[in-house]
Amino acid sequence: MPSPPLAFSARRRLLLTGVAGALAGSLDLTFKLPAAAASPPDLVVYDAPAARTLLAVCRTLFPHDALGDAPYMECVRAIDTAAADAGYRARIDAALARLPAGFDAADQAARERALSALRDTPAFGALRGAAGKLYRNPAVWPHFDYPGPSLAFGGWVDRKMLDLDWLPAQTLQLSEVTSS
Amino acid sequence: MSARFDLNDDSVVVVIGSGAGGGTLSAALTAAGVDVVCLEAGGQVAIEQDLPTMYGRVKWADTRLSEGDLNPALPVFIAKAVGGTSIVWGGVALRIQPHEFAARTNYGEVAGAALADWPMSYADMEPWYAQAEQRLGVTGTHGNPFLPDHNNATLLKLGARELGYAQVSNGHMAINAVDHDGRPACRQFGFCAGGCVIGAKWSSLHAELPKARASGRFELRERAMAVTVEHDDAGRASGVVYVDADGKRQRQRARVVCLAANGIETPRLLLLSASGRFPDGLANGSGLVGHHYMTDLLGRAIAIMPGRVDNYRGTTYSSLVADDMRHDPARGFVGGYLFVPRGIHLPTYVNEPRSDGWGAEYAEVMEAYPNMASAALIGEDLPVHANRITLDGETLDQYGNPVPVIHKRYHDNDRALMAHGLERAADIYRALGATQVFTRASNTAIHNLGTCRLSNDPAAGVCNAYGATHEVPNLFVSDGSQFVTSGAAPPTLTIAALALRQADHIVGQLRAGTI
Repeated sequence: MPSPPLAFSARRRLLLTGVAGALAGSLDLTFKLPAAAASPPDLVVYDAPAARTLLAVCRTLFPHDALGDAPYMECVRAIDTAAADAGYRARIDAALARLPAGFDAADQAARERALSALRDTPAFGALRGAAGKLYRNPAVWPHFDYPGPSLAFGGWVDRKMLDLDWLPAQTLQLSEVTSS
Repeated sequence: MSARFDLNDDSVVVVIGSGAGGGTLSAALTAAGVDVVCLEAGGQVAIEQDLPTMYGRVKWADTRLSEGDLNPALPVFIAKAVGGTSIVWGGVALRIQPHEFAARTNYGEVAGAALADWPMSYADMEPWYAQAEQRLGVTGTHGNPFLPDHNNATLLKLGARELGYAQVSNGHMAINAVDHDGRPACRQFGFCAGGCVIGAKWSSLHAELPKARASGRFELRERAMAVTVEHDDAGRASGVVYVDADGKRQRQRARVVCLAANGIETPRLLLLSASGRFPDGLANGSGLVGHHYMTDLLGRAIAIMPGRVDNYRGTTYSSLVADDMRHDPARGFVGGYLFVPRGIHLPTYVNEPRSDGWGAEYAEVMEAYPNMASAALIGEDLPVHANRITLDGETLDQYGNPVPVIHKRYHDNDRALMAHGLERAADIYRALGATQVFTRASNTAIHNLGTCRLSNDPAAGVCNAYGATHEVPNLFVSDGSQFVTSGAAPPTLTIAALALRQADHIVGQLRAGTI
């Protein structure tokens, strides 16, 4: 059996470095395209500038500085796939058109202000939904110390499930509520 | 061994739906020697430990319209799959309480609500509850051990005890703590809500349909969407028209028809089956088919704790805080509610603290995932006449039938109960030092109840105390549509107990030749 994922705390930095390093590499490839190029290699609908804006949108919605761009690009890819539907694409395009110039390069606070202005548009929920798929990506799980499926190691039944070592001094002891 | 029955075989019982109600009923009927054809709208699904994938795989995605307080985009989440919604239920297996069976008597008149007593008492139901608990292997009952402790459950119990709660336990779960009924003990995988990969959690899929199949008297037709229940000149149910997996219309003749299609599709099917003799819908002389729609009140609390919880570990909902299940109008509402822990996985956590959260502040809440504790509130939802299922006048589904419209507005009592419960839930976590607590009521229903309510009075309910419709004696309602009131408990154990009781009744009637 592999070691229990609880050990992630100790391994977290190492794993992150590894993931971020690997992801940064693939990202560079995407953005070495000329600025005015057609679609990035694996996007169908959006060209490189639009992809860059969508990437900035996804990063603004769920900003985790320690994560590289690659998992966010997966969210952009999901938007690109959904944009095969003309209605969906029209909603997204209308929203993007309302973003101020320089959105991609602005700081988080400024980008949040810009996105706030879109909150009541039909595109906002779609963009949030796509960006929220970030957390479905196993590549980001180590950052959140989330181990994912437990079937491969047989579940938690023979492992630690009760390790609340941080509880303040309680009038109640753990033993009073466990083993009922 | 699966059986095969001819479409013109009018000796069979046709059960519509293969979930908690239809599956249990089918297993009990076939065990007693009755031939059963079960029509299931969904197909077989594979279970894996990926909640978004599983939700997509089982989701009943046919168009539904919503009017009122439920989410217009997703008013209801139920499953369309062999095994029904029992695949993804949580496993909390509690009885409706004695005082709740006589809600009208014990709560008194509540303005705007259509409270009634059930036509049977708790004492009438007790043996069937006992049989259901034994069958499902409910922990902490009949000598079955409890499930083990884990952080998320322990925090809920500990915080509750800090506040003075006393009815705090590891709960009564239809999840095996030890091997039971040919199904293995729980491995504490933590993915209960997407279906159990080993069948340690009771479900129709894992526990009842296999029994029915083994009887040799059971045929399950998958991807068979029932569209009309037909009747003969005597006004007795004579068969069911359904659309099969190839899109062809078929007619299965029947001696008895049992509807276990969940609290929306069951009344919809009766309304779709209107005829010259039954112009307002089959068995709808009372005019109450579809009315008194209840969802149970569902709330959630997400707390960021000072240390790690890792609440993805272990059984999702095991443990129980039951003190507030009592009826105590001094709290400002009738009826009661309970708390259970609720484990949350990272992929779905993004919509939990807030369904619309985003930005740097929300990302901090996401970063706190390992320190997150969570509980669910389930409470009694009052029956209201205007809350109902109707057929839409314009929109048709893929079978050419009017889609259902779900009308649901919460009663003031519901709001008062929810506000009280969510505040208590927040207090539980604050008592243990929570740094942030998010609470909210759910606006997507998962329990759909009351739309063909039981009553001994044909003017006051659709079915008699055994679920037989008053107007069509060989037509039964076999799911949560029967509920007169919701009680504070989740409905599944009661649905199973009612199915066992109804099967016994049907067998008796068949033997007596009265249906």
